[in-house]
Amino acid sequence: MFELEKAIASWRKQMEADPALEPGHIAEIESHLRDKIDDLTARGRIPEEAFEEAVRALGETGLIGSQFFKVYSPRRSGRPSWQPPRFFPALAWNYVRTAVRIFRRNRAFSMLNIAGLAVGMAVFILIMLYVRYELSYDRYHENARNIYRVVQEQPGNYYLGSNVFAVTPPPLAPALVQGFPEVLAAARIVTSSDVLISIGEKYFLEKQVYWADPQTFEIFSFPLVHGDRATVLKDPFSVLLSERETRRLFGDTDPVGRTVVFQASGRKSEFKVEGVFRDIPANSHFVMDVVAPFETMVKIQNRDPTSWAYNSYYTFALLKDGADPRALDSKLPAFIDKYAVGKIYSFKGNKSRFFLQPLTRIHLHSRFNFELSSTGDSRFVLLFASIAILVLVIACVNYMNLATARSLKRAKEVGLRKVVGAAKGQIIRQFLGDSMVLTFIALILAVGIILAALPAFRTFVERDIIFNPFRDITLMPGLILLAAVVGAVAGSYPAFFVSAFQLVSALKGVGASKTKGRGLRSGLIMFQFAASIALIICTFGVRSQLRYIRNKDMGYERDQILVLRPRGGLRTNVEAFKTELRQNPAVVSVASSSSLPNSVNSSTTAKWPGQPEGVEVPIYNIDAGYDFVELYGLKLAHGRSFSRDHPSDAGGAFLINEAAQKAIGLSDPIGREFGEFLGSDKPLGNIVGIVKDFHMQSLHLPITPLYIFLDPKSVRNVSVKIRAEHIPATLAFIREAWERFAPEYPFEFTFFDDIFGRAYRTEQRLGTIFSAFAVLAVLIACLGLVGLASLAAEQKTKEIGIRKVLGSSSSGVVVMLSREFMRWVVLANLLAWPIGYFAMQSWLRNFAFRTSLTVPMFLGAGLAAFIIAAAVISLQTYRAATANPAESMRYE
Amino acid sequence: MSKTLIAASARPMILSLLLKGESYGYRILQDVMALSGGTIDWSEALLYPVLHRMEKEGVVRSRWRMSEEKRMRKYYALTDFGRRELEAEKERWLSIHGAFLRLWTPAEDSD
Repeated sequence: MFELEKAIASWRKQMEADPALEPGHIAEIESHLRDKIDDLTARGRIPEEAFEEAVRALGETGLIGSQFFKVYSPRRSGRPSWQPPRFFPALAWNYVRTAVRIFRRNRAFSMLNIAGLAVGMAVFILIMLYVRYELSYDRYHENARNIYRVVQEQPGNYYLGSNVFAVTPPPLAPALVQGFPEVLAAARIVTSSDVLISIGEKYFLEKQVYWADPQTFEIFSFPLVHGDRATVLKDPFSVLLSERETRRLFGDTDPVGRTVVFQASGRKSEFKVEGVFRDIPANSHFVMDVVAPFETMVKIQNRDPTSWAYNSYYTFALLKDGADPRALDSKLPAFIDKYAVGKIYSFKGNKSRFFLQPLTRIHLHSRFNFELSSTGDSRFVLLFASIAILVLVIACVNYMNLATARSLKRAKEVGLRKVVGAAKGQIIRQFLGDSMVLTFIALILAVGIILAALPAFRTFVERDIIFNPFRDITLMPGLILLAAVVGAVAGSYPAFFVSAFQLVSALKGVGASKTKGRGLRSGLIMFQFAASIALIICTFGVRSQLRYIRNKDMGYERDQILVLRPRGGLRTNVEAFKTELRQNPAVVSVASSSSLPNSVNSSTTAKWPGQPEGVEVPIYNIDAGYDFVELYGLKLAHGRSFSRDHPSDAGGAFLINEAAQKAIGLSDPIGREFGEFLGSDKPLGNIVGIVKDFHMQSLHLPITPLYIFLDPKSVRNVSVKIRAEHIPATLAFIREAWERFAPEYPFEFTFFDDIFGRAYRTEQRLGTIFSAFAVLAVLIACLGLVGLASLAAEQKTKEIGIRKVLGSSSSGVVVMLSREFMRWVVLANLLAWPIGYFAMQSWLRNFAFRTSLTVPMFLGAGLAAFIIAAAVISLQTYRAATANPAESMRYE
Repeated sequence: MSKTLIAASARPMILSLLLKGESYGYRILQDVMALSGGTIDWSEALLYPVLHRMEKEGVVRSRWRMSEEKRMRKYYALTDFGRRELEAEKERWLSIHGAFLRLWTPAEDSD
């Protein structure tokens, strides 16, 4: 039965519990309550309902109390006096002193902890600097978001693994501006390599000269130091130079108005310097130092700028703000059909498809054929970034483990603090504060590590990365934020762990019960070791593939071969040069060719009499002189090589590889006529032999049809096979000959073996990354293990004593203590093996020729982690195991 | 109605109601309800902290008194300072009101 008075009495009691409400306040509210109840019952409610409704209408008790409190407290807002403050300033010094004492007492331990964090953060920051750099490419242009490059996909026409081409026909750019109002401007760009520039009597070799439309300076914001943006490149014989190029060519004198002479492929043309632009930053895919008008290049090289069949030029377009590039893409096919009826390149009847690629995506997401400069790789950046995060997480986990283990030693301190009135929140804040301070110390250390490692790292990633927190406005806040986040994350678990200590047991110095949090800590250790083992597996996988590449018989020789790129007078006089070299007995053989046997990149379509209708065989080709096959040790399957003894060879002779023979489908091709469709100036010739398949491109690609055409005039490369003895003397001899033939060009050469190795630089770099991070991960994981093992030894002091009293040996105790952790290390394999397997499988799929993953790689990685872990744990537990049991038994 | 508007208008509203004579919390609430046709709904218990604050400011004073229904109630009345404050409040609110009125009345042709 509901009794109103009783209900009100109990309500009053509840109100009285709030320290903010004085009896007078409550009496006033009670009279309000009673009025309301009277009103409600007068309206027909039963007393119980009326009471409940009236109480509800009053609102929350706590809220009323705090409002009253605010009326009477001297401060407008603030903490009621009966609640403890969040922070006692008087205790601050005590916290610092305690922290310093703990640090001193366990100096080695604390150093390990800080070192782990510092290394983790240093690695993370370094890699993030690299990632930021990679993402910054080409973003400095004012219109960067609206600039696009037009590229084309030629369906089915796979060239070096991709059927997308970065180059387009020359009439495309003007047509785009005419045809689409949303295209504000479009420009064509093309480059010539190895142009000789002369100023008066002085000669300079320019690796790359850019030819560009005047609109280039409208689309891109290359800042001009001299010259007028509106008129540059309009004069057909004007040229623009970068600041560094100006210094190289003219020193400190004023370059504007001076004349420079370009000399390429035997032609000379005069240009006048009309402007100087700022050096292009390194995070740009343009490597531009000299720019001349596009139209002039067309005239000098006698090209047809209206031909839709030439695919040699980069087309850049500036779109209107807000224009949709995808919408433009979809309008392109019909547009191209209208402008270029039937003239567009088609492969096996498939017409090229043009589309727009954002400028800012060129560096990381391109990997198309004929890029303007070597680009980055988004997968590499992603891999790097994930490893960075992994290392940071491992470092945090490590800190958690070590700090938790160490905190047990502070159980008494925590107990005492609780006894004298510390609230849980206070202890949490104290320990979080501890970890924050440690993290900031670690950050300072990390900055030191970064400064020390930066030069090596810069060389390794081949990027000009700068670390200057005082100049870089985003870096300093970033670093502080990182340290704060790491401190909070790493410190949170230990802080909550410690604050949950039971008062009584904490005072006894026991802290938490033995099992509390053990599952989590063991899980963390397992995670660390899984990551380490997976990284070791990746190291083994990449190294094994590298070994495979090194030891694989490529089908050609690569030792003691020098490669020269003839220039100037040498180019027209190669035969005399070759004859001269052969005079020296140290020179075994000399041969010229269009490309080298490891990187054939010219391709065409094969043609032969009796070719069935509709059969098209794409075929790579090398134009080579006599002795090329012998110099590189290419093996013949049938027939013979080119020979001066067969005068008919000079009239046109072909060697084809086995893949080409298969593709053509002739059982006995020797003596048959052969040729190519494009470039009709090359005559048909006879097939004189079949060379065995060799790896004419990187092992990423399968072996495809190839022909070698005898053309002694093709002299892009001159290969010189020399004897292994007296190499410096031989080099001096060759240099001297070079300087006589091409005095204006510097003598440059490369060893073929180096050229070969450079093709696999990405893979070698990956191998280095994996081994470095594997070592790092194992190291940090071991730090964590040290913490846990010593924790276990500490907790089991009594057990160890009893065991030893009952006759257990020290080694028995070590095994007992280790077993638990070793179980987790072993289990980590189960996690790591599939991850490592899938990671390596997907990487190896990039190679047409690859090694296979073997069981020993996985077992080896697991075993390595196991042995290291076992060694670390034994060392750590040995002391506990050899302690005199009388000591430990005395305890308590 | 927004909380801030209610909070801002509570003080002048209470002062104005007390101008008619002393009153107590529950009746003030009911008067406000009646005046606004139920659109102004103060959360009940929070009226009391407001009244206490006004008493502390010195615009009202209070006394406990037995009512006709034989119930002890705390009655609030305006002080002289309260009367002056009410005048000031009135001026402020009227000027705001006037501004809105001019804003919302269709403007006469100005030419």
